[in-house]
Amino acid sequence: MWLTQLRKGLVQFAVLLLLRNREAYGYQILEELSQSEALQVTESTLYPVLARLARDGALAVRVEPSAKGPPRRYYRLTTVGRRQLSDMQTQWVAMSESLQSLLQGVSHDENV
Amino acid sequence: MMKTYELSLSPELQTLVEMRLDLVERVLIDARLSRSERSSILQELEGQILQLIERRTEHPTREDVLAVLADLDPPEAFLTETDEWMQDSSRGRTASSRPLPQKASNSTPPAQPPLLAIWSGVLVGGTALMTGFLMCTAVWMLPELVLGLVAIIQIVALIGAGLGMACLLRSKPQPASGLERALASASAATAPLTLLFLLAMASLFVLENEISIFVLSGFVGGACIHGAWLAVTTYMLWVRRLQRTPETSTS
Repeated sequence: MWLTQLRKGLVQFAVLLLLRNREAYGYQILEELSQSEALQVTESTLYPVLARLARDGALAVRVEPSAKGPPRRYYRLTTVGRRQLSDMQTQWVAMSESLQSLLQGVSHDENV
Repeated sequence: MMKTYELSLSPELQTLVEMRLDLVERVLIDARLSRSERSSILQELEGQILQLIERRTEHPTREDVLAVLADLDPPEAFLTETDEWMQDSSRGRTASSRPLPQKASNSTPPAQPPLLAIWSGVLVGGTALMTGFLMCTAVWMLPELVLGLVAIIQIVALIGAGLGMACLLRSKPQPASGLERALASASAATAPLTLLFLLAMASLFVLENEISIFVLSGFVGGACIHGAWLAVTTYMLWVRRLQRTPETSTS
């Protein structure tokens, strides 16, 4: 349960990181993120996140029509998205440092 | 630049894909996502499905499409994601105030025919059966040719109503068998005869200008049989819906 919640929270961060320097379409993002076993991203997690980020203005969408299928939607980061990513990076570093020190405290106690 | 889709699905296979998309959309509607958000998610999903099929084979079969659909997250998985989305959202709605979403299954639709169709078929068919039996017993004894014809029509309609009842009673969670479909079709075919029967009874009433017990029961019997036909039609539509649903399974 805890792991599931943690993964869900991290998907948004991972998407913004992935789109930091380029644009990509939905399934392409899914394939790249799903290579990370720890994240375990699937379509039911990713596509709603993409739609939400686009709705909130963090992602811009370029629609490329397709003759034989649905239009392909390419996502890229907007200024709002870059700011959001920057905030998340700062928070992530702060959180990881706090957790790291806690973990070190635990291992120190165990050794004593 | 990435290439777009090059695969062209047959109408039958396209229907399978669309049915899955419909199930997901139903979940997204339950989660009260806006049309543009739903459209965005569904386009992504459809693109993914097409790309997966394309990678699998150049000439996809029904089995290929079903296998791809089976590998996807079940539609209700989208509910879990969007539910949390809605809780976090500042749209002024709370998740707890929403009506409970209908559970959508990616594998099979609710397989049980509607209770209304079953019970209306049983009740109306039962009434038609009894009325028809009484009618044809009484009418058959009369010498007039017209009444004799009416009796024949009535017997056929009677058989149809009986067959329709049998179909409804035999309704199972699985899609109906060929025999059941044939019986339901035979029953439905009695509709014109029922209408003819009503017409014959009405003309008798006009000619004789009196309300006899035969005319009266003829109207009642005809109406009942027609009702049975409507119930059977409802059932047949349900059967067709079951047949159109892909039998996918989640992995």
